[in-house]
Amino acid sequence: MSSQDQQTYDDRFLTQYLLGALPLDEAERLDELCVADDELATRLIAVENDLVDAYVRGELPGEDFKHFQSFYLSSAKRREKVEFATALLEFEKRSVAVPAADSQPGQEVVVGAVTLRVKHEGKPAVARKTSASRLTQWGFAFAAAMMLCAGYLLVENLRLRRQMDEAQLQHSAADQRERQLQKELNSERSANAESVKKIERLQQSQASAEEPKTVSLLLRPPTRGLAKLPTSSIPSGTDLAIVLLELESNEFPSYRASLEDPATGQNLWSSGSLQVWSLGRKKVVTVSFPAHLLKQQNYLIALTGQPARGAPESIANYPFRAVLK
Amino acid sequence: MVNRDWAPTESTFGQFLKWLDEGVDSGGEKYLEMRRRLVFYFDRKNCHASDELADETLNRVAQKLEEKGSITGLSPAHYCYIVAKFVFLEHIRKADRGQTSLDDMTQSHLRAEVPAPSRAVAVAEAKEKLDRCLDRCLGKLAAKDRDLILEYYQGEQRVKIEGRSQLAARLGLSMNALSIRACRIRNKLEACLGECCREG
Repeated sequence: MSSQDQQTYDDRFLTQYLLGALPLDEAERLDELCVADDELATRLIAVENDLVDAYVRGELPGEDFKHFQSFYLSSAKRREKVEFATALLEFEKRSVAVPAADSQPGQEVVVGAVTLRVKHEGKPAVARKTSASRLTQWGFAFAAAMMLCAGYLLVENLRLRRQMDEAQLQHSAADQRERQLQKELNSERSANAESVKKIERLQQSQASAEEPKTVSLLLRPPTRGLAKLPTSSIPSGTDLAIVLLELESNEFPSYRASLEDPATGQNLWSSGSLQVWSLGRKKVVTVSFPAHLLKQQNYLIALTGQPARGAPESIANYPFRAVLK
Repeated sequence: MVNRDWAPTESTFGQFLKWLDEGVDSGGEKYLEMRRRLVFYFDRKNCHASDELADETLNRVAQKLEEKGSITGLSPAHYCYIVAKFVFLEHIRKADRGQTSLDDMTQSHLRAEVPAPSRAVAVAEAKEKLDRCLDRCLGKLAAKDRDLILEYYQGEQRVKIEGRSQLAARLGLSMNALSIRACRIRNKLEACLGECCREG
C-alpha cells in the first residue's frame, strides 16, 4: 500500500468501515483491499481489536456505539470477538484486583489457572504456575475460601438476578440486531441487483457456466512515438475484461477510468474510484468491465487522477484493439 | 465451468499453496491468512456461512489453477478477491430465490427455539466456560507472549497508548512491529478459545 493510501485510510476511516458506516463505494474499495492488500489487511486486524476493546470498556462515542450495536454485533463471528474481548478485560480486572496492598515486586499471585508475577510498577505480569508457589498459595486459599463461603449465597443470588437481567437485555438486543440485519441485507441486495442482472445476462449465453471467464491485458503508459497498438484477444463467452493500466508515476490518492470508442467519442463504461497496486516494480491501476461491451475495433481507456481536493486531472489515454475470437 | 463435486488432490493442493506463496515457502501460512481474509470479507457482508463461502472461493481458485496450469496477470490475493466477489453475488442470488444454507437455517432456528429461561442459564454457563477457557489458553502461551498480549491490551485510551509505546521501547520494536506481533498472539488466543469452547 502506498503512503498516500495510508494517509487516506487512517484508523478512523478503517473504524468507520468496520462499523458499516462508510458509503457503499468506499466500503467496496476497502472490501477489495482487505483481501488483496497485505498491509491493509494486517492494519485492519489491529484496528478491529482496538475497536472491540473500546466497546467492551465503554469507550465508544455515541454514533460509533450505535453503529457497533446495529452493524458490528449483527454477526455471530463478530460477537465471538466481543466475547473474547470481554473475557480478556475481566481477566485484566481480576489480575489487577488480586495483588494485595502488601504484595512485593516479584511475588506471584494466581488468577484463574495462570500465575501473575507482580512487577516493579505494581502491575502484574503473567508467568507459568510453579509447584513451589502453589504450596504457599494453599494457605491463602484456605483462609479466602472460609470468607468466600459466608458471602457466597448473597453474591450468588445477586449474580443470578444480574444474569437474568443481562439475558433479557441480550434477547431484546438480538431481536433488534436481527431486524437491523434484515434491513442491511435488503439494502445490500438492492445495491447488488444490477450486478446480479449483468451476471444473469452473461449466463444466458452459457447456461451451465458459473465460473466467470476473464481475459486480462496489461497496457503500458502511452508513448509519443509510433508504437504498435496493443491487442486483446477476447474468446467467445468471456465474462469480464480485466485491464491493468501501468502508470508512469503515482501522484493521486485515487483514479477513475472510462472506456471510450475513439471513432465516435462515446463513453461506453466508467469505473468507480480506483486504487494503485504494485505489480513488481510497476504501479498499476486495475479496471474490470463486462467483456460484452467490446466489439472487434479500437478502444481507448481514459484515466483521470482524483486529487484529495479539486477537480480531476486527465492522466493518459490507453489505446488498444479488441479482437473477438 | 464449476464442477461442484471437484475436490483438490494432494498435488493440486500443493500446487495451489505454492501459487499462493509466490515463490517464498510460507508453510501454509499464506493459505490460512487468505482464508481468514475471505471469511472476514463474507462476514462483513453479513453472510452467516462465511466459512463455507471462503472455502468455496478457495476451491474454485484451486480448480481454475488446476485447469489452466497457471494464473498470471493478477496477484493471487487479487484473483482470490475477484472470485470471492462472484461467489458472494451467487450467494445473494440464491438467498433471493429462498435457498438458504444449512448454516443460515440452523442459526435462525436456534435463536427462535431456545426459550428465555434456558437462554439465561445458557448465557451464564457460556460465560463461565469462556473464563475457564481463557485461563487455559493463556496458560498454553509462551510466557513472553502472555506478558506481551496482556500488557499490550491493558488500560484505557491514553494509558493504553502510552503503555504500548513503553512496551515497544522495552522490547526494541517499532510500534508497527509490536502491533503485528500482538495481533498474531491475539489471533492465536482467539482460535484456542474458540476451539476450547466448542470442545466443552
